[in-house]
Amino acid sequence: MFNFSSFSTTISSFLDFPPPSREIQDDLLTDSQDRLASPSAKPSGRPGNETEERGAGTSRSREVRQLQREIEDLKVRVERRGNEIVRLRGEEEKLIRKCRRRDDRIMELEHEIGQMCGLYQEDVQRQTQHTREVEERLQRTEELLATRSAELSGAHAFLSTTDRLSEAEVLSIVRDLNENIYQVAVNLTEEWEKLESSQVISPMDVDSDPTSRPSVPALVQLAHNRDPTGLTFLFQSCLCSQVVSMTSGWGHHQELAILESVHQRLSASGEHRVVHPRRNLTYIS
Amino acid sequence: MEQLANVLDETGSFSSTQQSLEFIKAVALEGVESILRVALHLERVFMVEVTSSDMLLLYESPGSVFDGAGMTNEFGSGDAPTSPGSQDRVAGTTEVGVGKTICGGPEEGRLVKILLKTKVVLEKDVMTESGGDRGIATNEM
Repeated sequence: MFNFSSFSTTISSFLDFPPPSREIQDDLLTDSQDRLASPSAKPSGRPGNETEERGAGTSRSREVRQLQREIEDLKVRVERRGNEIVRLRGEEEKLIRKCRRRDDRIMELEHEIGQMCGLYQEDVQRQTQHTREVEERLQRTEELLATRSAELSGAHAFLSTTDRLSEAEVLSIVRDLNENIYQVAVNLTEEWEKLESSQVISPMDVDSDPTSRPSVPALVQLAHNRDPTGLTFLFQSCLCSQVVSMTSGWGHHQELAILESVHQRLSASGEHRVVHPRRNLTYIS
Repeated sequence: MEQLANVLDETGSFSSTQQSLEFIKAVALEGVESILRVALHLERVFMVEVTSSDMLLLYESPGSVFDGAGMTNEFGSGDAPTSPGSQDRVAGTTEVGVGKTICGGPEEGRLVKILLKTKVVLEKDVMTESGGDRGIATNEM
């Protein structure tokens, strides 16, 4: 006899469903028993009804076959479902493995990202440090450049051997100077002569006569004799002496007089390229 | 100024050096200042602007021996001495000269190259004795 309970359990196990409840199983069993015990299926007990009984037996056989076919169909369906379940479980396992691999990969990537972040941070720090060092070096270089530029600017005056004035220009200045000296000397003499002609000069004191003194310069004697030309020469000579004194190095600066001897000593050593420009150091305007 | 005043004192025209000084200030102050300005300019030129060599103004003191190589005679009586062996002496400098020092070699040392000769008057030209009178030799002026 067909055991519905075991069948449903088997089906459920295939379908991976929970077995039907006990009440459902009882209802189904009662229903099938009722169908088997229906009047069409029961023997009539009457002898005239053998044909009916035979017919009923045939009908039950058909029902049984029908049920067997259904069972076969159900088995096929169950088998298909089972195969489908197996396939789905395989796919599920594949997906699970795939998900695990993805998870592993994600963790691996996160780890790599962490490492990369660490390396990036280190690199950024290194670059920042390098930038700071370069900036400091640049600042030092700029300061050094400024210092060297200032030194070069200061040294330029002493390194240059190019004259700002040519010899001809210097000679022109000196000729003009001589002309000025002459004009002043002549002017002074003329004014003195005017003064001389407008007043009576008492005779010179004999004791103050320079000609009576030995080694008196000739021009002084002429001046003493009121010789205008001699006086002009004497004026010129005085002015020339003063001008030469003013232009002769450190001669007219008493506090710098020692430099004159230093300059002469350096000049005697022959280091012209050093000696001449170094006059700038001690020039007082 | 004081030196010019001392020159005027030699004439006996002024009773004191102060008067001589005032006379010079009144007559030639502007001219003297101009000369001093040019002198200061020349000082800068020689000290700063000419660096290739030492340049200097040349001046001959009274009594020094005339040297035709670096001097010219104001009266143009010849750069050579009047007679061989004689030494004409300078009475005064009327125009300054210009020279520059050059290196003449290890034995010669430093030499002065004359760029402009100093103009001088010689004693022989300004001192003539004729009957005790002293004065400029007019025949050479």
